[in-house]
Amino acid sequence: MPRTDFDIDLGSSAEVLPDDDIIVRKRFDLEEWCIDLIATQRPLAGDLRILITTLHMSVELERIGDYAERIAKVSILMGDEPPLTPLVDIPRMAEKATDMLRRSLDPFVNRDVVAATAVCNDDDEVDAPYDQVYRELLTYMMADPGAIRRATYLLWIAHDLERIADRTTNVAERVIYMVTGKLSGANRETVTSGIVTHNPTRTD
Amino acid sequence: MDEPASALDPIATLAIEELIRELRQDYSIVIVTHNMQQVACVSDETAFLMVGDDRAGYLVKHGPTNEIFTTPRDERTEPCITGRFN
Repeated sequence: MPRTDFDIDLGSSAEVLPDDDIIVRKRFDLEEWCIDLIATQRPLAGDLRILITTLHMSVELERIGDYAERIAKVSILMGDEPPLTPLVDIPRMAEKATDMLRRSLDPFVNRDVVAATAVCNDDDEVDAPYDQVYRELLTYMMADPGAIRRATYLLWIAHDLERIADRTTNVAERVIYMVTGKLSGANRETVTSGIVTHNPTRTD
Repeated sequence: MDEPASALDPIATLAIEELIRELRQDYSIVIVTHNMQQVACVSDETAFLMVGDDRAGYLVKHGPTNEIFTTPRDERTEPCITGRFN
């Protein structure tokens, strides 16, 4: 059963914001470390794929941090105002996206293609509720222009959760590449959707 | 060491490089080589020397190996480490 008891926790949202700076710094540290190794050790084959995968993963994880930061900022914008609709699909998306993220990192350490593939296959479980949320919020906005602001907040959050799941799928795809040398495109058709252009915070 | 792995096969070269890595824990080692890959792999510091109009072996650049091989600041260094000339 989906949870419906999610509260907007402004304190937690504020705590998230400084964490993004830490993630950005770590991303650049990792990037510098990989570049040094490529330049000085001339890695090839599996060693090269590990470093290329690490570079890609650091970018993906840093972007996921950006989305988390934006969700926190939108939560703060929403303040104590009650959400426009009962939160059902958005918490479901959040749980699934964070579950996928956790499950995408172990395969990197364990070189587990099966587990990485399972993460890729779960992407639809976030895309489907996102489409549902989008349609529902659009209906609210058309029925009551006064609800546009509150609907937009939720739409931004849903969009960012959808992007987190997509980025997580990218991480899993890179793990598959690291182990097999094959670039898979499980995520390619779901990355872009016309509706995501409604989010002005979108930067990619 | 002057061109320590010159004309050696890959296995013997690897043995030399591993010996250098082992010795550098306790000794300072100076290697003269035209093999840029070897420089990058085994050294902490790199000095780049060139032949000038008046004399050979003047110092162009010296610095940490990772800096020299990722972001060489002297424009004469990059063609050398990328193999355009040595």
